[in-house]
Amino acid sequence: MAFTAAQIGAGTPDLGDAPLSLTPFLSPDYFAAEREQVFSRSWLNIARGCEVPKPGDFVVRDVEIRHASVLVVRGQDGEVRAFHNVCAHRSARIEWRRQGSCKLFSCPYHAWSYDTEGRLRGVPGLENFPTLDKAANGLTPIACEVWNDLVFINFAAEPPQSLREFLGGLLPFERDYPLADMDASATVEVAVVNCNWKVFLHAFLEAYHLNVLHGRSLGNTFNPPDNPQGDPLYYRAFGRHGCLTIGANLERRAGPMETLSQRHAADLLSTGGKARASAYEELGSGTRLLNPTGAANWALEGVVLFPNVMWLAAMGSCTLHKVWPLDLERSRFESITYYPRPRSVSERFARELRFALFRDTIVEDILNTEYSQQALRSGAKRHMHLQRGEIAIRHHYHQVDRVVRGETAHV
Amino acid sequence: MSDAVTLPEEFAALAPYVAGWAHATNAERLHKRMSSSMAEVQDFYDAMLPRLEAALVHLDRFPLGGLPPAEETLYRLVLAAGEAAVAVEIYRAPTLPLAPDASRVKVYYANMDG
Ligand code: FES
Ligand SMILES: [Fe+2]
Repeated sequence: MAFTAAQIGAGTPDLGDAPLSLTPFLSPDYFAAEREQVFSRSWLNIARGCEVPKPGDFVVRDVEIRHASVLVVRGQDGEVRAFHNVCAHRSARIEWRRQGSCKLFSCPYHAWSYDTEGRLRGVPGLENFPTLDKAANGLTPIACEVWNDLVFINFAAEPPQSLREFLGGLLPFERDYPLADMDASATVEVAVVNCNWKVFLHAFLEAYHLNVLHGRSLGNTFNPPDNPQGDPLYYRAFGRHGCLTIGANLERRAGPMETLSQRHAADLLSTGGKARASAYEELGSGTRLLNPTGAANWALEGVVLFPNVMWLAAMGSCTLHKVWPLDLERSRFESITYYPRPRSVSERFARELRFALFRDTIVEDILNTEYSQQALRSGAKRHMHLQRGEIAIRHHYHQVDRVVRGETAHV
Repeated sequence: MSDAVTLPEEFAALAPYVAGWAHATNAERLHKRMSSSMAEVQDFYDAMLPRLEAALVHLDRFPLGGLPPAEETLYRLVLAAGEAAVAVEIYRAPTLPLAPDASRVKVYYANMDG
């Protein structure tokens, strides 16, 4: 089996087969351009709406490439907003917790306070600030929009396009794959991965390596006998984004406990069992976004959400792999898998076993990408060679490059 | 103290595993697996496997998040069996062949336990 043009959706640019330059993984200038062009002007997925369900609920998230601490809070009016977590007095960090709930944010330095809609409310010793305009010194807002319960921010003072324009052809996923009732989660976090953010993200954008690097854990999971290289079933570009359709190997034989787990819950690693069968039935054939080729062995859609997220939409679970640049050769990784809340102990057992396996496969990618970064840096090679089935990587590489070169700042 | 260990009566044979394996979080279960020998993981797995289906049937009679203490202990063993299964059925080893130090990886859950 080879990956052919028939498996590529309309609107996907033909990017050829040329080897790729290594400059984007190694150049400080390129990284500086990514900061200004990519991460300062794209919509970035920062949180889930379900993380801040009630007025006053907040989360605090770092975006290191922007040196930003971002406060995402649901106001008393029910609106989700994002602010720089910075005090107007002398720029202290206001909220130091990672999440919580409150009516007023109080700065730990001199106790200026702000309400959940960002207004400056209290200034101790106000009489000593004769020229201070309270109304003009609320929290600095960051553009924030919510789609499919995913909270996105944009650091541009005036984003070049709305979130909905940015998502474009992906918008129907909200109908076909609603996240609202998937509010249980299991997160894997690696504070520092020693490689360029694209090196790590690209490790999740192809199935070619699964039978090899993950031979023990994922061998024969996504690679049926007639497709040993894990060629995608399909690939479609949606503007800057992309969507990679991956199939499972339904012939795989699982061990006894794993087989039991497959009876009680389906997820992206499911290769059989009652739970997968009924989830597949529910999926139906009415959607062209999920399982566009109608394959009986459909496993997942891997949606590359430009610039830094791989969203794995599967039956029974979905995962957001997010790679956050720290600097040119260091990244932070956060992988959040969402499920419907488990309804029984047997379902919960299945989740535990299947997440433990998934977690381990993620961990297997860390050292490999770190050694790759070192190797890139060594100067041993000038190029990398992508095969046709690695099309999602080529497309992502190309889209980042276009934005970095200033060709167009939006989709 | 094994006297303090209570499990539902028909699962009393699992009592020797409670101290080592009945943990509340995925991170603790992972740590237990990674710091055990393969023989220890296999021994726990072998004790759980023939009782696992019965344990699930028993525990499914209670609401997740509202388990009585003895059932809570059994529940923790069941979740640890899920961790042990990955070592036994997938890797045939407690640790991963290509992995960095486990302390670099943090795991946490939200809304998973009812
Ligand atoms: S810096 Fe916040 S009150 Fe002074
Ligand atoms: Fe991988």
